Amino acid sequence: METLYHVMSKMEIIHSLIEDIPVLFVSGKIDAVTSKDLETALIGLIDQNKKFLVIDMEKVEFLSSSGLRVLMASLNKLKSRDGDLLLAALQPFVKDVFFMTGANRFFPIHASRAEAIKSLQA
Amino acid sequence: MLGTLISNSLVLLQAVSVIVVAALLISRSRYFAEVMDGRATWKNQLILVLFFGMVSIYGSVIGINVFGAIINVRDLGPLVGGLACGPVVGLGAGLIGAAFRFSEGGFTALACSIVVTLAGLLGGIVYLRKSKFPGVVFSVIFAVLFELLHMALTLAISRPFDLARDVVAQAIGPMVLANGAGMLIFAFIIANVVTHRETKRERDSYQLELQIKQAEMVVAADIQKSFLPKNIPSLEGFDIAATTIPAREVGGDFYDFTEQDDNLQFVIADVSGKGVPAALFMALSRIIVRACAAPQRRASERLKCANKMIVDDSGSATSGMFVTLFFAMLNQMNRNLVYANAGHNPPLLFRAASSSIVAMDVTGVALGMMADMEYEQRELVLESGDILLLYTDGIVEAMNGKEEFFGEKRLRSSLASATELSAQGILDIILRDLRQFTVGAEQSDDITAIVFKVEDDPAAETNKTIFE
Repeated sequence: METLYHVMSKMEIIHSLIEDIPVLFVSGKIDAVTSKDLETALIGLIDQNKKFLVIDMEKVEFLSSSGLRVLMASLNKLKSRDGDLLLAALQPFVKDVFFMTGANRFFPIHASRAEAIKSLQA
Repeated sequence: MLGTLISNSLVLLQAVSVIVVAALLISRSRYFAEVMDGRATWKNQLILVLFFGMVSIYGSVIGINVFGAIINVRDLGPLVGGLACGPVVGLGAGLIGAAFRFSEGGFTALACSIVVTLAGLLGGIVYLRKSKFPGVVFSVIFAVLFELLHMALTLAISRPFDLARDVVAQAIGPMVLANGAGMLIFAFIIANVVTHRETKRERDSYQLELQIKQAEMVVAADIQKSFLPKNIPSLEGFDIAATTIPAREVGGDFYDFTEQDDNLQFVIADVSGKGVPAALFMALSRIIVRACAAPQRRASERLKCANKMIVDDSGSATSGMFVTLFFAMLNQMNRNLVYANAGHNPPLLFRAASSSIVAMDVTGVALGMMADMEYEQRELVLESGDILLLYTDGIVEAMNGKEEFFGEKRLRSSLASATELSAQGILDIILRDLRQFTVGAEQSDDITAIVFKVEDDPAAETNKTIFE
């Protein structure tokens, strides 16, 4: 557990390395305001030349279109360098956003963080 | 000896206190402010010359006579005048102080007169070199060094030397202390004024910038409003109402109507995010969807075309921007509705015959997400009394104070409770219920809705009568 970001206690990001894979544990609401911090965190990792990132979204209760935009932008950036952005443990509301917009087609979505990490090691 | 030293110092410090009060007043004056801002005129400089000259005279008058020499804070006024307001004020004040001191006479009269003139001049030179007030620490050191110079000059110029030496021995402690302390307080006040004025200047320019931005946003909002249909089209057999309420001045939601032969084409859309970025993307998306209108083009092909243009031309892959968009073509004659839905909140359809509400389909991915997406289309026939409600997520994702969403369930209830009303009536009920739900909470996203109500078909009514 390395870094801790606080934004008006609405969203929290904890960054850690699990088996050498960067994992972001996000909790709370990813809305127009908090998505900027998610973007900063993701860009930070991408700028460190990380190719594969996992976001554990088990504790994300809300994802707005601003938040989805940030995820799409990061996904496209990672894919352009043969990387990927893996999502794990989507809650019902968040899952609905992905399936309604069709964004679920572009992200590898896993039931759990462990599964996402395992898929990268295979 | 020590007792005299202390009492001499105290008298000088009392003088300093009076000077400080005067300093406080002048530092808040318009003239001082103008000179500090670099807007020196003859008038404001003259007033400051008189002020600091008076301070110098007061510093002499309050002085303590030691063997005919006067221990004093005479140099303080010209020093400060020079350091804070430049050589004109410094020198002017120094000359006033010098004239007064010279008229007083005594064996140090010449030395002291030269010194007080020098005080204003040197202060002014420092100001010129730094081109601003040099700060508290510098000013205090400068004042202390200057008083030592004062003492040295007294020894050099005043005769008899023995008497001058005795005077200096008596005066050096109290004068360094009093002038140093006076300068400390003066410099603090001036530094405070300088900081205050800088803060004010920054705030003023920030406020000006803000006003310009606000004015620009008003214009932007007007331009964006002009992108919305001026009038809701009147379509025979249909009652239509629409509204959009951006969360900020401009927003990413829009709706559009275009008429083509017997068809009414309509769009409701929501760009990711809100505010200016969303508004720019909204303007682009709206025109692209219009540009993709070609005769005989199917709804599904229309969205495929729009998606391609947005991905190719908007840099959406880099920004991650996308737009969820529902497009439909309604045939006025046979009430046939063909639609394609790019990731937009499924519109609700109230069927009068069964008194039930169904959600329509999503038939493809939000526009701008990825190149080469395929879209499907669906077709249905609207019947008398049916109601079509199109909306954006600003409605279902509106939150109340308890952080609960309005949600699709409440939206369905609102719709179900209003099916007997006109299209505008239904829209009003939905917005009323939304307001009641979110009472007090700030609107966090753009809100847009369109209501279509199918009126009773006069032809069908006639047929019914005939068959009965």
